[in-house]
Amino acid sequence: MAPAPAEAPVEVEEPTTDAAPEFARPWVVIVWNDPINLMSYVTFVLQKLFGYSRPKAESLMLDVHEKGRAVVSSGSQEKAELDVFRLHEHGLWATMQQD
Amino acid sequence: MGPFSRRRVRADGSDRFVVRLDDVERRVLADVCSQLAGAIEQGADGEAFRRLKPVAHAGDAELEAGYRALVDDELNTKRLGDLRAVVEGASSRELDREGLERWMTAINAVRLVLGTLLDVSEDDPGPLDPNDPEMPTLAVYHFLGGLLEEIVQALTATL
Repeated sequence: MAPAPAEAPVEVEEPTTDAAPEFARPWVVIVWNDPINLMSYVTFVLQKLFGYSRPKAESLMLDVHEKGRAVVSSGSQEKAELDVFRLHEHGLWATMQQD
Repeated sequence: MGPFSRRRVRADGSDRFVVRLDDVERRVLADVCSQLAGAIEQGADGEAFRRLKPVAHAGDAELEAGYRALVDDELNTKRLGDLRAVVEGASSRELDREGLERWMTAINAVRLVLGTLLDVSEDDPGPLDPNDPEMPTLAVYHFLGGLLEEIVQALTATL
């Protein structure tokens, strides 16, 4: 997954060369394995929320199931927080961290 | 619908779903959703409910507090809306897509709480033991799991 460009802080009018590196580091959204959510449900939620194809959503779900976690989206802090919120609305165990 | 169709949830077009449950199943469904809605309204936040509000920022208490302040009310409102939609519409024979997705998330929320209470694992639990004091709860948990699976199949088939 390609990281989305980080959003510039509001007060900055134009890009500067000395932007703090934190702004360039994307946040990643991680879904963790849990014994309750159904595999089919996790796949469907990833398709619905992120518009992923079925093969892509299934592959991410299998990563969660077999490896314990998978990065399902990335981007600015605001975008990641919204994605986490939507996953939480659907009962998935999601966290976010800066890559 | 052929005589061999035993599916309880069936897509009939992309925005119309037929729900075939018997009266006992509908009563159980309404009852568990009503119980969870009541618990959420009373501000229940014990261990069994932790899966309804997962931590977003595991390593940063300040960011986590900000996230909680931002989303907790909205999470509760959405969840209560979904649970009430099931309670009030438990006798529905047909649902549109939005209605069925509400059932989906409501049923999943109940499973999260019951599964946490039961401390379920991914391993196949095998046949239910009638002497297990948790048997009734387990039976409901598995009923909801089977129904949720059918709901997801119907919604997936019409994506």
